[in-house]
Amino acid sequence: MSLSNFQEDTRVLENKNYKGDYFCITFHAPTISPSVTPGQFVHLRLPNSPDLLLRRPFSIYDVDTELSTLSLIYKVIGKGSKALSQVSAGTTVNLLGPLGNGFPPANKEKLIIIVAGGYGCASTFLVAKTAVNPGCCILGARTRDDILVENEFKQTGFEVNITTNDGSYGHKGIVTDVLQQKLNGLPYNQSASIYACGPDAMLKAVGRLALKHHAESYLSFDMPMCCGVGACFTCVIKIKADSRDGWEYVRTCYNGPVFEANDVFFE
Amino acid sequence: MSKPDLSVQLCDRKLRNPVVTASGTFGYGKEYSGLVRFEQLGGITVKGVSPFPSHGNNTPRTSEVDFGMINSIGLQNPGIDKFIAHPDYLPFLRTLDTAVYVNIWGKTMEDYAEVASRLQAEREGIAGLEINISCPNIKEGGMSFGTSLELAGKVVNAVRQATDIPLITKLSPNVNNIADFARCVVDNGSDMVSLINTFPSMAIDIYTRKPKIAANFGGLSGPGIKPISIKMIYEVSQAVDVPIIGMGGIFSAADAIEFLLAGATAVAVGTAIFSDPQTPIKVIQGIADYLNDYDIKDINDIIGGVEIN
Repeated sequence: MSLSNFQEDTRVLENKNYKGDYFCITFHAPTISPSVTPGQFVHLRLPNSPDLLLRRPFSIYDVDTELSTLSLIYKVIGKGSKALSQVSAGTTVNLLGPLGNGFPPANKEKLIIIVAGGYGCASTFLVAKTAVNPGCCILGARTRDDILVENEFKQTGFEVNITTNDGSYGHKGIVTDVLQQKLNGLPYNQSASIYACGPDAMLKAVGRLALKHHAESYLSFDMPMCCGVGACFTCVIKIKADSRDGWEYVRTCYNGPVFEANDVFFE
Repeated sequence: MSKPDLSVQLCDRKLRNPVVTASGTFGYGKEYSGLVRFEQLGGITVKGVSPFPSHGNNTPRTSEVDFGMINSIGLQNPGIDKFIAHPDYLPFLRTLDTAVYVNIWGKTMEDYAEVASRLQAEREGIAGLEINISCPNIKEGGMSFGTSLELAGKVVNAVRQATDIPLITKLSPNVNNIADFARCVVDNGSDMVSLINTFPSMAIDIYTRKPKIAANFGGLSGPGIKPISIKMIYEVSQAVDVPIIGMGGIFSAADAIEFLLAGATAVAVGTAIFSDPQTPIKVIQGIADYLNDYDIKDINDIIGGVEIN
């Protein structure tokens, strides 16, 4: 039997403080990196943390196929991410991946609109990097200090729009303010494909707006996970189904993390 | 040096080695098919199946704690109809070169018997049924059957009437005397016992003051529970003369060997699979190395080999 997912001992090349509590870590991962598609994730075993039994899932931010590297962006929030921030270059880190069903390839006829809340920019960056025709992206965060990889998005040729809740940078407000304008401003013969990642409330708002405008939209959900491969049923979200309640719990690691907005059961 | 014989006998089935996966930690097998070589495992135990589809509990369903985790998944499953017919479940499991054990549960005695009788009709490729009377995370059934001697006996008897597939009863550690429960289920027709299930537990987020699990409580697993598992396996091995599948905190070959010495014929790896999906394979290799180091030719020579003081 051949094995289709990979478990690889990778080497940390760099683990740098990006800004504030945000870090960017890069691994030499010759087995995993060549088959990564946008929106997929790796499941990381923390080295030197025997008390933390569970792996941590991270969206793959970037890959370099020539150097066989992959990078993640993460925020130091709890014990695990703190331990990760202290891992030095040269350390061996075991990864499972690439896991999950990422974003589908963009239809060349459609305008790609990327909507990213906070570190949701990490899972959507490869969409921009691999797009045939650059579209636009909307990066939203609470404040200026939480806006990440703006220049990297610009270098892909995408138009970059910034929103912050406190107005410290870009449009004061939320990403759906700008998304609404973009969708309203589309020529009658142009349709859009929306690729979004961020907090649940943002995804819900983006999905609703997309459905209202008959735009296809793909939402990437960030749920806590244990196994990362579909075995434990930790990371479920409600998806429309032909059941008594009209929904069923579906595993984001196995069937997602990307779902079409139309399939998601929003309460 | 010749390779030691790792095979063990679980009723009518000879396993190539004593290492299986624990129910609820290995999905329905297919989920790990991209990462684990099934043909190296002694067997797998699939997630609990009930007569009806079940949503399971609300999220969050799991929480990491120091050296362990708490889960309250609530036995989400597709129901027996889909389990039998859908290519991702039983038809897939039948293609595997390893022993397949199916964990079963219900809300009532009749539910347990119904799943068993449906699987009796579809028994090809099923090495045994594991009767789950010990899940702490469902409101009806589950642990309520496993913590009453009378109900435990009745539910095992009902399943026994419905099938001649070898039966394993998964015992709850949340009882005064687990040996009494082992005797009771064996007297009622269980061919084997597996133990232990998880311990009811709780973790609180001190910033939100909310329990970290939607259902408030869950089952604790991980290396911290291992010494309790070992003691219970020893006690059960003194009480009954049927194969015991030991589990509860196995992360290494050394852990597994401790279980075998305590009296387990086979061992199940659970939570450790989440840390490293290769844990069962590493455990098998490590047991072989241990036997080689001590020049033991047959694994059966260490089962129950603890020398009590």
